[in-house]
Amino acid sequence: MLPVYICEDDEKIRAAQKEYLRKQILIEGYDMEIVLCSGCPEDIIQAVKESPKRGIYFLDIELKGESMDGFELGQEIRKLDSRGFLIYVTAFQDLAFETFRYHLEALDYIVKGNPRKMQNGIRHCLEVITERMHEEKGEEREYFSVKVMDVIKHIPVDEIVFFETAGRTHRVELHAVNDRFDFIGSLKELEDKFKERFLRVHRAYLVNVEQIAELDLKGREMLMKNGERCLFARGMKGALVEQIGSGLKDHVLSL
Amino acid sequence: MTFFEVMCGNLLSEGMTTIFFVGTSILLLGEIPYKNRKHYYTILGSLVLYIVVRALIGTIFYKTGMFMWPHNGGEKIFDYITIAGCMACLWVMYKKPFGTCLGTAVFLKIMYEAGWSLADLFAPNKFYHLEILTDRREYLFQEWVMTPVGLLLVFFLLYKTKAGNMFEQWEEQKLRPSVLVFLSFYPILVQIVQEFVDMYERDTGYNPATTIIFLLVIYIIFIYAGREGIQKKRIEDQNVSLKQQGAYIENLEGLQKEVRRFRHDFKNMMSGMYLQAEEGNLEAIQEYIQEMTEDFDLQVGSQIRLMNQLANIRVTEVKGLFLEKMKTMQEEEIRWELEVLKPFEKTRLRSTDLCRCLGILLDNAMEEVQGRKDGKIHIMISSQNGYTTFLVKNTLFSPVDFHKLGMAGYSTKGSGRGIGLNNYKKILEKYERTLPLTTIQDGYFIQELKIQEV
Repeated sequence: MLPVYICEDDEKIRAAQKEYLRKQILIEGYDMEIVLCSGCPEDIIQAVKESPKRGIYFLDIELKGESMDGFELGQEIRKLDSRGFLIYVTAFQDLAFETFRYHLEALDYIVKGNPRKMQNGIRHCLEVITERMHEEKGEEREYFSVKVMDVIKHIPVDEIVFFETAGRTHRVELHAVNDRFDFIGSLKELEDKFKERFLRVHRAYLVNVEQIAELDLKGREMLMKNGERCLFARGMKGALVEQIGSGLKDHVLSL
Repeated sequence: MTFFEVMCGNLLSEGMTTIFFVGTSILLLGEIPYKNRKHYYTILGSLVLYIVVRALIGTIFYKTGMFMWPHNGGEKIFDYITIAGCMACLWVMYKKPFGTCLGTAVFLKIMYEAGWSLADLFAPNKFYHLEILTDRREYLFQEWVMTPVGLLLVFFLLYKTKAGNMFEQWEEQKLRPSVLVFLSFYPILVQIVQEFVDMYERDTGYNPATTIIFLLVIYIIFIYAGREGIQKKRIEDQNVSLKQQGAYIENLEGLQKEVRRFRHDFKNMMSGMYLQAEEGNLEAIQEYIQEMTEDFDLQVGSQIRLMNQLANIRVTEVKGLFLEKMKTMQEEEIRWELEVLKPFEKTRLRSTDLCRCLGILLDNAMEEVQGRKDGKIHIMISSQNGYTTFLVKNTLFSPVDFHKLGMAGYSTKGSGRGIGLNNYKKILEKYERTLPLTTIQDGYFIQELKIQEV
């Protein structure tokens, strides 16, 4: 059961939101429940604190006369519920949504000026949430989560091609299919963490075995599936050939 | 020499001094604004009075031996009388405020002494025995030929260097009380420096007076250089704000056009709504209102939005960069959005470096979506909790070879390009705690630049 919270300072709109949500949950038979509707952000935080659980939050951005705005409320909620769904409700279309998505991983935003549009927005959000929940259930994908300054990046482990020591101490360069960035860490730690799937082939490289495309045994270099090249140490030759298995062996030998 | 003789001599030399004073003050403060004959006579009278009083006091001081007081006490008192008298004359002539009169009087005194010292260079033998004929001749030559020449030279220098203009600026800046106090201590300070010089006369190669003078010169140079830097910065700021005003005006004109178009639609809608109201069709009216507000938001809102976001960029150089890019993007009809939720006030990176980095990211994004109807650029600047993030996101059309990105010479836009991202990385390598991030997500190419500020 997903708890639903609404924080909206306009009483009428709050009532309309609540009413429509209630109806929609009933009609579609969603596994959700409206827990709290309030104009006061502290109430919401208190309630989440009392029963910390993944929830759905409809938050107004401009909370008049309150101690915090929707953005700050979102930050507080994220501290308590890192996986919840944040949906922002705003009167203006000039919402800096990219910022909200970037910092709060907000799901979507709804413009509240038009009742019909607002209803459509709510319906759409509920659909997306259910779909997400469903996907997550079926998915067994492992993610590598790492803090990069003030944000946390989640990279699917199977998409990581290799880690490389960056020029500076304590910095590691991540090379993934769709990502490339540095973070603070050490190859040793990562090696321990990904014991089975990754191989420390060189002092400077920790590679994802599944991402290796070719081995150049003479040049002691390997070609990764994304086209990048990594070096490997002499002592690793045997282990590599063994790891990669027979499927690749023929190919390797042909080199 | 008798009292009368000294008095006559003094009257003559005081006359000369006063002519120099009046001439120089005209040079510095401009023409004397005498409005009528009466004022003219007042000035003349006060000048004559000044000459006579000074000559008289000078004679008395000389005769009573007050000029021989230790530490030049008598002479200092005489200096103050000179300055006070000069101030009074200046006030009568120009009716300027007290501060200006004091400043000018001290300046005149300094200039007079400069001229006098110039003349003095040619008279190494400072003491004359007026009883001896050759000495007296030399003295008279010194007093009546060399001194006027020196004074004229100073006058000429002031004239050539356009000291009047400088003085005018100085006058406008309103002298602070501390400066006035400093100026009024001038005669005493001169004495102190002089005594330093005398005291250390025997120690060759070192003299505090030299140090003090050099310190002063260096101080002036520093102030001047600093001024220049500030001025440069100010000019730059002004340029940016000019650019911004230009952009604002362009935007306003666009807005006006849109409002005019909307006004036209609005009239039609109103008449339609009126008809519906007559029929009592509430639902249709609601729909009309809905439509109208949305139209308004769509047509007029977007321009206002952009300007609101730009206003949140408080770093002038970055704002200038965005204004410039905004112009290009408008010309090329590139759709773009800017988000600056919280004011971006400052950053650790040098603004030239930051602008180069951002310029590279923006140029890359613009090149990618150029000429594509469905292309879009999204820019976010976020500064909070001690971190600054710049995010440039653009629709991706050409496949990117990730591992080659940032290598010199690689570009998705063909060979001979791709120096940009390489430079970008090089610039960032200079700084600690800055990170470039690259991501491909949902058909967008995303470049992030993160800076840890503290």
